[in-house]
Amino acid sequence: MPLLIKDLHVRYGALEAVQGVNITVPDGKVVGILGANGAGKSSVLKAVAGTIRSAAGEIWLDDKRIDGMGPHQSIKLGLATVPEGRRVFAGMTVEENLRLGAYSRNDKPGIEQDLQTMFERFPILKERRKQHAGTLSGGEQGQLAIARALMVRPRFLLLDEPIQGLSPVITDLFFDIILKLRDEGVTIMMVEHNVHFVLNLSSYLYLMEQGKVRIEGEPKELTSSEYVQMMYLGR
Amino acid sequence: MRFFKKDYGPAWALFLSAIALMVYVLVEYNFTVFVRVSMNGIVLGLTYLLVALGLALMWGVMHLLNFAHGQFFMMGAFSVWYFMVRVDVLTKYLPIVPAYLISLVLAMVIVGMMGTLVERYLFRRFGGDLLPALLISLGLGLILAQAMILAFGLLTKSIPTAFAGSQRFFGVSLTNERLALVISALVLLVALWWLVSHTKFGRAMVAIREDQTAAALQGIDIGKFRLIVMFIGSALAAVAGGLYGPVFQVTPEMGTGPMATAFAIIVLGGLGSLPGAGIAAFFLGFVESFGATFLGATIAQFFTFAVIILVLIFKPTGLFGHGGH
Ligand SMILES: Nc1ncnc2c1ncn2[C@@H]1O[C@H](COP(=O)(O)OP(=O)(O)OP(=O)(O)O)[C@@H](O)[C@H]1O
Ligand SMILES: [Mg+2]
Repeated sequence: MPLLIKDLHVRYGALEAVQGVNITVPDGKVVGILGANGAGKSSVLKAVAGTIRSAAGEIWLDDKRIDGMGPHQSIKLGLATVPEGRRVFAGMTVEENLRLGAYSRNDKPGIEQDLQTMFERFPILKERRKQHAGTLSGGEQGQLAIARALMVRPRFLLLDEPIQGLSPVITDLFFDIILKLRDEGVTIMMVEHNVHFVLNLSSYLYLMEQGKVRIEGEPKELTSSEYVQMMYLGR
Repeated sequence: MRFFKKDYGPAWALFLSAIALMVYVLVEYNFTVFVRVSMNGIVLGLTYLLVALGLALMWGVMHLLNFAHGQFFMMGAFSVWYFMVRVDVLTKYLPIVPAYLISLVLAMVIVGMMGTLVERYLFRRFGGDLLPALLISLGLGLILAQAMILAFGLLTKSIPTAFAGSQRFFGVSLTNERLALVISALVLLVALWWLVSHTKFGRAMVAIREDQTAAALQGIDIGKFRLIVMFIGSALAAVAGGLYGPVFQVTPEMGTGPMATAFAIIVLGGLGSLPGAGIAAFFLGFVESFGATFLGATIAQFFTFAVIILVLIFKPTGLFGHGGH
């Protein structure tokens, strides 16, 4: 299902962090958002997730307008989020975190089955099942955060710096998981600073700067742009 | 549960000093006096605990305190008095026990609804900030107390007891109405404990307390939860008032003392911690009961707050505090 962001504005008091951004995420594709610190990437993602209110513009999921909806409403439409900084529940066990991920669901057998699936995909989570999430390493928390989001059985996934601080092995694991999700038909919007990771996964990219989209295009177009080469690829 | 870890030195110190106090009374006086004063401590502790738990729930989920909570306790007592005495429909057609129980339930519903209205139309309107909530609810409390005076006059009211007679424990008699208070409070506490630790609702509540944004992202409707928590917390204050009313007296100011104690309890127990509130409530109930009997009410109060200050010096987040958020 496609996600459409039309002329989105986000304000924090006097600061206009997002100034008229248009983004399209086509059905079953991965779209990446790049940009320097403070460019407004997370603000766009939070507005879609519903954890902050947009000041103006429209956000559409399929044929439903979701700006103004709370996360508890958009999650019912199949939207799941891995927020910036992961935000796992530190005082709860790994398993409790995963079960909370399925809070919006009522199909008990399906939840149990998905829990097993997560433990197979992320063996370390099975090992740490009864351990408090706060005692996990950063990389382990990263795995828990994405597993928790997958417990929603999302049709649409928002990822804010999912591989930040992950080792190369786990980064490869995430790469495969995201590809697999895409092939299963999940539509994905991803903010990430690791340019190569985003370039290799995304079918389309947006580069944000100071609250606006500066350049957009397919990975090939972006890598051939002089600006991107200079700023992001260090050539 | 995760509540029982970390550094609980002050909790142990408090526990041991309470034991020491009891041993002192046992040695200096006789066993009967000890039992009588202990039972009184339990009655007070449970009443305060019901009031304090409402505040602890609110703080945990909303990071807000309703300063009209003491007046909600008073409104609970007034509601029961209203249905039992003022309009005599219930008592006319029903035996006194069901009439009393129905009055209690009505009081919980009415005051619970008041709580949800306060959240929906006052707290939410001011963005859930602590300071406006403090001022608004403080004002609301004053208005409620005055309204009761205007509506029903200044005279002290009393609620007829639904449970006449008494039981003997260790040679000391305990009136049935106090016993009813103890049993009802225990039933409510068990129900609350079950709700928090064994239901999806409780898991969501713990999640909100830990990280509201992350909880929202799991699909928890924060706005709805705030309303429910205000309902439960206010209803607990109301039922405490309705149980306390027949044992003591019903006046527009009756909420002030328990409210102050309830605040002391949640600060001492660690803001938002339910087990912490439990321990603190019993401690303060016992200190009040022992202190008032053997030291005089003023010195007892001095002792109570001296203990609270000492605990906070050594552990600023309270006995079971989680620290900052
Ligand atoms: N809650 C807030 N209150 C005030 N200003 C904020 C808030 N959140 C973000 N901002 C500001 O809005 C701007 C955009 O922030 P945002 O988090 O969207 O950036 P970002 O592109 O995700 O950056 P990063 O790559 O560092 O995560 C920044 O200047 C930031 O300081
Ligand atoms: Mg960001």
